[in-house]
Amino acid sequence: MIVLCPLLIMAQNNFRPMNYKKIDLLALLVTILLVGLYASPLLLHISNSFTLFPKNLPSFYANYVPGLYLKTAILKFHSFPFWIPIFEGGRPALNYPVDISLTPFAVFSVIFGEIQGMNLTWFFLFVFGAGSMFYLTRIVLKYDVFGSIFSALVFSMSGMFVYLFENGIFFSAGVLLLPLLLAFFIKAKEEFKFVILSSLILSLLLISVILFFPVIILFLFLFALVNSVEFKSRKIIIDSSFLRIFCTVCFFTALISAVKILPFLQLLSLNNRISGLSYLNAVSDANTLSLFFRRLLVPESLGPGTMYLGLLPVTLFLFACLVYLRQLRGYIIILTAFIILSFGPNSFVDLHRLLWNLPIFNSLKEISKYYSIIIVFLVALISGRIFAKFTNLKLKPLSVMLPAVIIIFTYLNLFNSNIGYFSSFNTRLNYSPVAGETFQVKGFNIHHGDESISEALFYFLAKKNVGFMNFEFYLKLKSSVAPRYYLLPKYAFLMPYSSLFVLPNPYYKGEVFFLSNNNDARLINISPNLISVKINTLNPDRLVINQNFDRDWNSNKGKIEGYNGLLSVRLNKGETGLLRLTYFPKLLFLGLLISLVSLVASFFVLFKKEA
Amino acid sequence: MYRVSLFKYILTIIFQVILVGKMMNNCFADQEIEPFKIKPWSVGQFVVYQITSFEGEDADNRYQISLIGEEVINGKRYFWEKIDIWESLVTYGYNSINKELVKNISFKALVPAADYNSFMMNASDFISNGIFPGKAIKLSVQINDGPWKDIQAKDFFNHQDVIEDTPYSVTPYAKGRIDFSKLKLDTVLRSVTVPAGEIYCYHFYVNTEIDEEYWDEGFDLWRSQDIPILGLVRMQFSKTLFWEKWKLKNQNIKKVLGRMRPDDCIMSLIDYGPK
Repeated sequence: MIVLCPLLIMAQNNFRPMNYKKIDLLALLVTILLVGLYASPLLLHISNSFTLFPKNLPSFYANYVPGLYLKTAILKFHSFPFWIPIFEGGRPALNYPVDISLTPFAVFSVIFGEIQGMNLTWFFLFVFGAGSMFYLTRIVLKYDVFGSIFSALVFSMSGMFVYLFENGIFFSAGVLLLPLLLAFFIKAKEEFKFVILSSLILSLLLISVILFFPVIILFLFLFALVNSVEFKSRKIIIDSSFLRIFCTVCFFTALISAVKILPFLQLLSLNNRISGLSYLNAVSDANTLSLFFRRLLVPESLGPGTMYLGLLPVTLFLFACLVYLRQLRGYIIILTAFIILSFGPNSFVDLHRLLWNLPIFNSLKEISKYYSIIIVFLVALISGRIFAKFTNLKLKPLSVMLPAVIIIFTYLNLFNSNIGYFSSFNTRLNYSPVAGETFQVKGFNIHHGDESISEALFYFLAKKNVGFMNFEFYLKLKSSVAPRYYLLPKYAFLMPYSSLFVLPNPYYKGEVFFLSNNNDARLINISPNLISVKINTLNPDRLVINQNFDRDWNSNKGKIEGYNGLLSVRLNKGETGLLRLTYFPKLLFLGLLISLVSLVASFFVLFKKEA
Repeated sequence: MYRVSLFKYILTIIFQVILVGKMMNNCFADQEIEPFKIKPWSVGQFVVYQITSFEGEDADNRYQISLIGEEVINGKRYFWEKIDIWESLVTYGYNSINKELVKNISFKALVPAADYNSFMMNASDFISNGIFPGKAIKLSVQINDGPWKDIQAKDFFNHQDVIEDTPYSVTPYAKGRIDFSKLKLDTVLRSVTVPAGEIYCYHFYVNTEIDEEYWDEGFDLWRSQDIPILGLVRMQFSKTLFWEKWKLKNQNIKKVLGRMRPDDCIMSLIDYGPK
C-alpha cells in the first residue's frame, strides 16, 4: 500500500506527458520492490537449503554439485573445469545440460558458495524477470502502467517458478528472462541492434535452461509465424519480416552459443536419446482438463505443471481476450497451441507426439512442466491488457483506485499462496569437510523412491571430492570405473531398515595401477583437467587410470588409449618421473573461438549502430 | 531306545518351559513358543524376496538366501548361507522398455543355525539383524560375476565413516530406529497373500505414534514356521507416518507443500523351497 501511494497520487493529478518517464520509473521501482519483498526469504536465509526430512521428499541437493565443483576448481585448483573427475567416474563438464559454468550467474556460486549462489541467482532473476515483464508490456506493447505492474507481478509471482525452485529445478530460473527476449524480438523489426540483443538473450537461455530451450524456440517460431499472417479487407497479407528475424536470431544464437552447442552435440553423439525414454514414459504428468484448471486456480502444489495464478488474473485474462480479441489473437492462438501441447496424449490431437521426434523434445519428462512456462507467461501478459479499460473510466478516482485495488489484492493473494514454498528451505548445512583424495562410491539396489538420499549423498560426497556414481545428469552412459566402496541398503540382509552399509570393493586396485606388478605407479593428484602420476617402469606396460576414457586427454609420456572404457597410457620400459595427463577438449575450444568472435562482432555492431 | 527318546523329549519340553520363563523380552513372557519356531535348517533350503511396494511402485530387485552347505566346527554345526542380491536395471529404448535382472553382489557366510531359542531369547536382535553376516565365521564376497574373495567380516563392515561423517548421519535414513521394547505379537494366525502364495502367519509389530519423532519408525513382520531360514513372509518397514507427524507438529501451517509420498517399504516372499 505504502509503495503504491506515490503512484496513486501522481495518477490522480493527471499526468503530463513530460512525467511519463518518471511514472514508468516509479512503477518499475514499485514492481521490483514488491517482487523483491516476495523473494526476500532467499536473501534472509541465503545459506538455507532443502530440508533433509522426511524420507522421499524431493531434496535436489545434487543440483548444487555443478556450482560446488566450479567453485572448488577455480578457488582451490585455479583452473576452469573442463573435466570433472567425480561425475560418473569422470566426464567432460560443459557438455552437460545443467552445467552452470558458462552462465553469468556462476559468479555467485564461485564468490558466495554453491547454496548461497543459487539462492542469490534466483532472487536476482525473480526481480529481473519482473522488471523485464514490465519493460515488455509498458515500453514495447504500450500497456497502461497499472497493467504493466499487474502483468509483471503475476508472471514472476506465479506458483510455477516457486514450485520449480522448491523442487530443485534450478536451471529453470533463466526462463524469467523470457519477457526480455520477446521484447527485443518485437523491437527487432524496427532496429537491427535488437536482433543482436535477442540473440544474446536467447544464447543465455540456451546455455542456462537448455531443456526449456526448445519450448522457447517453438514459442518464438509460432510468434513469428502468427505475426506473419494478417487479415486486411478480407485479404490475407503475408509479411515474412518476423520469420526472417527469427531465422537471423537463431543463426546468431548458434554462433554465440557454439561453446555450448558443439560439446552438447558431442554428448548427444554418445547417446542420441538423452534420457532414453520411450514416448509413453516421456509424457508423464500431461495435463488433463480438471488438472489444468486446478493448477491455474488452486493454490496448492499439484505436481510438475503447477502454475497457480489465481482467479482474478485468470478472469481478467478472459475479459481481455473478449475485449481485445483482434489485437490479441496472435497470443491467443499461441496460448491455445501450448495448452494443447501440455495435454499431450490427453488432448484430442497429440501435438507433443509430433514434436517428440525432434532432439531434446524427445527427452522431456513431465511435459506440463515445460509448456506451462509459456502458458503462465501469456496469461500474465494478456491479463494486463484489460487495465486500459479501467484507466479510461469516466470516473477519475475509480480509474485509479480500481486497478490499484486489483493489483494489491492480486499481490497479496499470490504472496500468501506461494510464499510458503520457501519454507521448505529451512536447513542450514554446516558441513565443510576437507576435500581429500578422489575416488568413487557406487550404490547397489538403492531404489527409485530413495532418490532423495542418493542426491543428498552425491552432494555430501562431492564436498569431500568423492564421486557418487549412481547419479546421472540426464544421461545414461556406461562407465567401467571401479568404485572404492559400494553402498548397500540394510534391507538386503532382511533387516528392517533403509540405512546403508558401506562395503569396500574387493576388486579395487586404486585410482592408478599398472597391469604388471613389476612397475610402480603412485598417484600424486587428480584435479580438473590434470592427472599427475609418479611412475617407474621396468617393463613395457599399460598404466590404467580409474577414469572414463575420453579422446581429448593428452599425455607427456607414452600413448593414450582406452582400456575397457577406462583411460590408459601405454608406456615403454624405463619411463620414470612425473606423468602428466592434461585434458584439452578441442571441440569446446573451437566452439569457444566461434562464440568469442561472434560476441565481439555483436558488440561491435551494437556500439557502432549506437554511435 | 524308545524310552530314552521319550525321556529326551520330556526333558526338552521342561527346558523350553524354563527358557520361556527366563525370557529377556518380558512382553512375550506369557506367549506360546509356536510363533517363534523356526524350521530346522538344512542344506537346499532357499527363500527369495522382493520389494513389491515402495512409493506405490513395484521394484524388481530380488534377495535370495540359500543354504548351500554345512560344517561342524568344534562340535557345533554351522551352515553356509549364500546371499544373492539382484537389481532390476531398466533401460529405455525407442518405444521399448528393457528390464534386466543383474546380480550385483553375493555373499557366502558360515554362520550358526538360527532356532527359536535365539528368537525368543532376543526377539529384537533376531528381527533387527536379519541375515546380516557381520559375525560370520568365514565370509566371501562376489561382485557381479567376478571371482569370489575371502574377507574378514569384522573389517568388511567397518567403513561407515565414509558416509556417516557427512550430514547423511542426521537424515531419517541414518537415524531411523525401531523401539523394540514396544514389540507386540498377534497370536492369531492370519492369512497373508504374497507372490509365493497364501500363507498363514503370526504378526509381530511395532507401532509409531504421531506424537513421536520422525525417525521413530513402525514395523510389521509376518512370519511362518513353514518358511525356511528366518520364516519371514512379509515385512513392512521404514514406516514413519511422516505426514501425520508433520501436521501435528505444524498445526499452524494450513497448507502442506511438496509432494506427499509414502515412505514405507514392503518386502514380500516370492519363492521358497523345498516345498
